[in-house]
Amino acid sequence: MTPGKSLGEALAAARRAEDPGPLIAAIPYAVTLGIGARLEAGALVTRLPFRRGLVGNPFLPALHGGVVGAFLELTAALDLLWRQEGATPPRSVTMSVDFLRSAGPRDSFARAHVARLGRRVASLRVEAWQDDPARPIAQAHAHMLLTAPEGDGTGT
Amino acid sequence: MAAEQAAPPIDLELSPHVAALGIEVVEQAAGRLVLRLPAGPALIGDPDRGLLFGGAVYTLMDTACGFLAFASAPAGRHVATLDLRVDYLAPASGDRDVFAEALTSRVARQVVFCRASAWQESPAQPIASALGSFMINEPPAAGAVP
Repeated sequence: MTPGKSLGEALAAARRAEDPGPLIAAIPYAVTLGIGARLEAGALVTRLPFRRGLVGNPFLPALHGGVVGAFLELTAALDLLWRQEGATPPRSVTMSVDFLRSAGPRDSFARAHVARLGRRVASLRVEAWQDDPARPIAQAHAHMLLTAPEGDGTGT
Repeated sequence: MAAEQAAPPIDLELSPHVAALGIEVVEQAAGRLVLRLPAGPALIGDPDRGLLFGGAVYTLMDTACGFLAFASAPAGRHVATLDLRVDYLAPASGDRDVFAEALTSRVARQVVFCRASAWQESPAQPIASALGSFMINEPPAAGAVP
């Protein structure tokens, strides 16, 4: 693994620039998917540019369901990182996705809504859409731990 | 029931994203599919601790359940994920391959129900579990509206 920026450094840089870009650049899997983000009235809106390598079903064609799930999960994690004071990466506990419409060969967008932000755990709803936010392609319900893991970080 | 018949071999290369991740079939039987996701730096979610991003495991679970559902559905039909829930039981180390075993719970006329478990070191130490349901559709060429 390349010794890139720590998440804390990246988050601080992103906050200074008021641009989530540096934060996303510090998360290798987000770079792998090619995710981008912008702020809309202070809220994070993520974007997943379409490319063929993200297709799961080439006959439709449609994005891989796992790509959509991972996109929603990243959106939730990035939203929490952006809101938090610290830079402890949230850890997913449960992730449940309803796939509402086929995700066609177009760019996708997503936004998280924090239903409850507790001290240790957050509950979020996340929606993804393509052409029209009123016609979501998928919705997720996620629970994420907010506290730093104890010891070596291998305990949930 | 088709449980007695050997399921047709699964061709993961059909799916560009699955091929890009390098996911491979380890074992396939009627109602059961085991896949392997090779570890790699591109799948890291927590660079400070060297942990895989949960979404990579999510994709492996969806692939295992989805291809098993496809293989379990009547020949010529396609499947679409209705929903998939993953519980992340333990952090996933970024330098070990991930295995997932999917099993069908029921193959109904319109829906296939699957469950899955993922591990790195041993199946006895799962890192994630999943439940998914998949709609059985006519193939797109037949004019089905997704």
